Amino acid sequence: MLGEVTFVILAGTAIVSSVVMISREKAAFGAMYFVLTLLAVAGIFLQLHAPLLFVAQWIAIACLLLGLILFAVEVTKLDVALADEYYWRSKAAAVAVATLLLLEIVVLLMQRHFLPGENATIFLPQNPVSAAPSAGNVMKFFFAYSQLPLGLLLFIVLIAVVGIRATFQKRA
Amino acid sequence: MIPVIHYLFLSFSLLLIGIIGAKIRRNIMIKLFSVELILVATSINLAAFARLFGDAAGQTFALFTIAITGAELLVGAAILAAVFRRWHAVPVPAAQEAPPQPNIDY
Amino acid sequence: MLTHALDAIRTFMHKDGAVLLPELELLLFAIGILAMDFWITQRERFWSPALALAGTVFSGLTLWMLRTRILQSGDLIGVHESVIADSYFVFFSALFLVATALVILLSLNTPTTSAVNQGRHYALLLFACMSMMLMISSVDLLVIFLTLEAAAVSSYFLAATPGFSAKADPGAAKYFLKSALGSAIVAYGFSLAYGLTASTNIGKVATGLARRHNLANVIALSRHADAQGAQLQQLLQTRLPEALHWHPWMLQALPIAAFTLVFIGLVTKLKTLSAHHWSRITNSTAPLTVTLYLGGAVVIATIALFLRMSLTVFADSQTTWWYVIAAFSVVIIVAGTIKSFASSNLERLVTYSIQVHIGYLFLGLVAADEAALTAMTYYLFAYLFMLTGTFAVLLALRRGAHHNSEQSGNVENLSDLRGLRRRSPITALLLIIFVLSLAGLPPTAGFFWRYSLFRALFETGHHAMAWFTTVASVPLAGAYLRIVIYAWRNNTSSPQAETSPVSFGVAEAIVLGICVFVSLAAGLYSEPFTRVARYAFGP
Repeated sequence: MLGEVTFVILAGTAIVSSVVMISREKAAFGAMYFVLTLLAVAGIFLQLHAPLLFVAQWIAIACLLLGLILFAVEVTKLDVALADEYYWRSKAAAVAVATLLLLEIVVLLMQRHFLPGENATIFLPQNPVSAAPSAGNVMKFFFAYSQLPLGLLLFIVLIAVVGIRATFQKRA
Repeated sequence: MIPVIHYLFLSFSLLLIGIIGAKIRRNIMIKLFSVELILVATSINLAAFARLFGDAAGQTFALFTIAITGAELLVGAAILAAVFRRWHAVPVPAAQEAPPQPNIDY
Repeated sequence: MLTHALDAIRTFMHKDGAVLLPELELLLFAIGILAMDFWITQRERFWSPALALAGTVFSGLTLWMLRTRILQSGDLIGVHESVIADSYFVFFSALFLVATALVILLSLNTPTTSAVNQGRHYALLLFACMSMMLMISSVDLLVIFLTLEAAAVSSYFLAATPGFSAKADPGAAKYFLKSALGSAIVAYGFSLAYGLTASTNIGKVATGLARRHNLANVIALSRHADAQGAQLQQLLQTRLPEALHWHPWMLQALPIAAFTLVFIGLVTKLKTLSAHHWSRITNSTAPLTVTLYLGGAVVIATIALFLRMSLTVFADSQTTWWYVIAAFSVVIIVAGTIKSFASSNLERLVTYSIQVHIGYLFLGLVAADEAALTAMTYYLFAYLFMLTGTFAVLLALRRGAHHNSEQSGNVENLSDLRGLRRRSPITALLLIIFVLSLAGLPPTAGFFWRYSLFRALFETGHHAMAWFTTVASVPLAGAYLRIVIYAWRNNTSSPQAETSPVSFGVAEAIVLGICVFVSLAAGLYSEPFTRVARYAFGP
C-alpha cells in the first residue's frame, strides 16, 4: 500500500514536472523543472531497489548539471530559439505523438475492461520472480563485464575534449 | 509489489513527452532537455526490468545510460555555445582608472 | 612482475585484442596526431594528414590479417561476447577506412585559414572511423548504444568545424539536436528489447524474440476451430495454461514497439545526416569534406547497423514489419524527388537525392532474400565512391570560385556550372559520369544496382514495389540530368559565368581516379564487385 502510494507520488511528480518543463519560456526555469523530474526518477530508482542508480542520478545530474548547465546557460546566453523553416512539420509530428499519449492514458485507465485477462500485464511476467541485484552484485558485474563499455565511455570523454578544443578555436 | 507494466507506462509517457518537447519547442536548451528526458525514460525501463529479472546487467546498462545523459548534455551545451556565441565581453577599465589595490600581506 | 604484465598483454592481444586491433591502431594514430599537434609549426602541418593516412593504411592491413584469420578459424568473438569480427565487420570496416582515407586526401588542399588544417580535425575523423568500425563489430546492445553515441559525438564536432568563417556552422546545432533525438529513441527501443528477453547479447535477444513470436503464432492457431487448433490447445493446456487467455497481438505489441522505435530513431539520424545543413535561413559554412563524410560514411554506418539488427534481432517478424519500411521508403522517395526538382543549388540537389537513395536502399529490406541483401551491400559500396567523386568535383569548383570572389563559403547554383565544358572538359566529363551513376543510368554502377534491386523485388513477389522503383527513378534521373545539361552547355555569354580554369591537386586527382574507376567498372564488369558484396554475408 505504502509502496503504491510512493510510486504514484513519484511518477506523478516526474510526469507533471516534465510537462511543465517543456512549457517554460526561459531555459533556466526549464532546467529547474528538469532537475525536479530527475529527482523524482531518482526516487523511483530507490524504490526499484537500485541504490547505485539513485546515487548516480543525484551526483551526475542533480548536482553537477544543476550548476554547470545553469551556469553555462546564463553566461553564454544560450536562451535562443532555433530558426526552423519547416516548423509546421514538427508541429504535425508533435500533434501525432500527443494523440499517442492520449491513447496511452486511455489504455491505462481502461486496461481492466477491454483487454483479455486480468489487466495489461500479459506483456511480461506479472511479478518479479527473484530478488533485485544488490549493489555489491552490480559492482561485481560492472567490474567483471563492463570493461569495454567503460573504455567506450572514456573514449567519448576523449572525443568531447578534443572536439571542444577544435570547435572553440580562433581562426588560425 | 508494483507490476512492471506501471513502470512501462511511466517511461512511455516520459518518452512521448520528450518527443513532443523536442519537436514543438524552438528554444535550444528546452529541446536538449527533452532529448535527455527520453534517455531518463530509458534508464527507468532498464531499472524496472533489472528488478524483474534480478539481472545486474540491466542496472549496469542504466548506469551507463545515466552517464551518457550527462556527457551528452555537456557536449550539447558546448556545441550550442560554439554555434550561438554571444558572450558579452566585460569591459576592463584602463590601468589609470583601476582602484588602488589594498596591500595585504598574507 | 614485468613478465606477468607482458604475458597479460600477449594474452589480451591473442584473444580479445585481436578483435579490437584495427580500432586500437586508429586510436594510437589519433593520439599520435594530437600529441604531435602541440609542437609542429605551420609549415609542417602536412604531417597530421600524413599520419592519419598512415593510420588508415595500417588499420587496413590489420583488417586484411583479420580476414585471413577468419577464413581459417571462423568468426572471432571477444570481450565477454560483446564484439565480433566476422565478414560483415571486415567488409564495412574496409569501406569506412577507404572513406576516411578519401576524405583525408580531399582535405589536403584546403585553404590555409581553414580549421581543417589543424591536427584535431584529423584526429576527430579517425575517432569517427574507429567508432563506426566498433559499432559494426559489436553484438551487445549496451556496446552498440555506446559506440553509436561515440560516432554521433565525433560527427557533431565534425559538423561544427568552422570552415570558411570564424564561427561554427549554424546547421550543426540543428544536426546535433535531431541526431541526439534519434539516438535517444534507439536507446529506448534497446531497453524494450532487453526487457523482453532479459539479455543484452543480440543473439540471445533474437532467440528470445523468436520464441515469443512462435508462442504468439501458436496461440493464434489454437484459437481456430479445427483439428490443429484443438491439438495446439491441448499442448498449451499442458505446458502453459495461462497463455490460453492471452491475446496473440498483445504478445507481439512490445517487440513491434521495439522495432518501430529503433527504426524511427535510426531514420531520424539518417534524415538529418542527409539534409542537415540546408535551409534558406542558414547557409552552410562547414567544409565540403565534412558534408561528404557525414553523408557518405556515417550514413553507411547507420544503415549497416540497421541491417545487422534486422538480420538478427528482428529477423523473425520480417513478415510483419516490411509494410512499415515499404511505406517509409515510398514517402521518402517521392518527397526527395520533389525536393531535388525544386532546388537549384547544386549541393542541395545532391543532398536531397541522398535521401532518395536511402529510400531505395531500404526497399532492399522489403525483399529480404539473399539477392536483395547482396544488392544492398553492393550499392553501399558503390554509393561511397559515387558520392566522393561528386563532392570532389564540387570541391574543385568551389575552390576555383573562392579564388575569384572574396565571399567566403559561397554555394553554387546550377547556373554556375555554365560553360564548364569550355573551362575544363575533364571536369565536365567526370561530373557527368558521377551524376549518371547516381541517377542509375547505364553503363555505370548505379544502373546495375537498380536492376538487381528490381529483379530481387520482382522475384520475391513485391511487384507493385518493383514497378514503383522503375517509375520513380525517371523523375530523379530528370533532376540529375539538369546538372548534365548545365555542365555540357557551352554558352559563356552570361556575365555570372566563371571563366577560370578548374585545377586539381595530386591528391584530388587520385581520389577522382579511384572513384571514376569504381563507378564505371562496377557497372561494366560487375562480377568481382558482386563477389565483394556477397562476402559481407559470409566468406
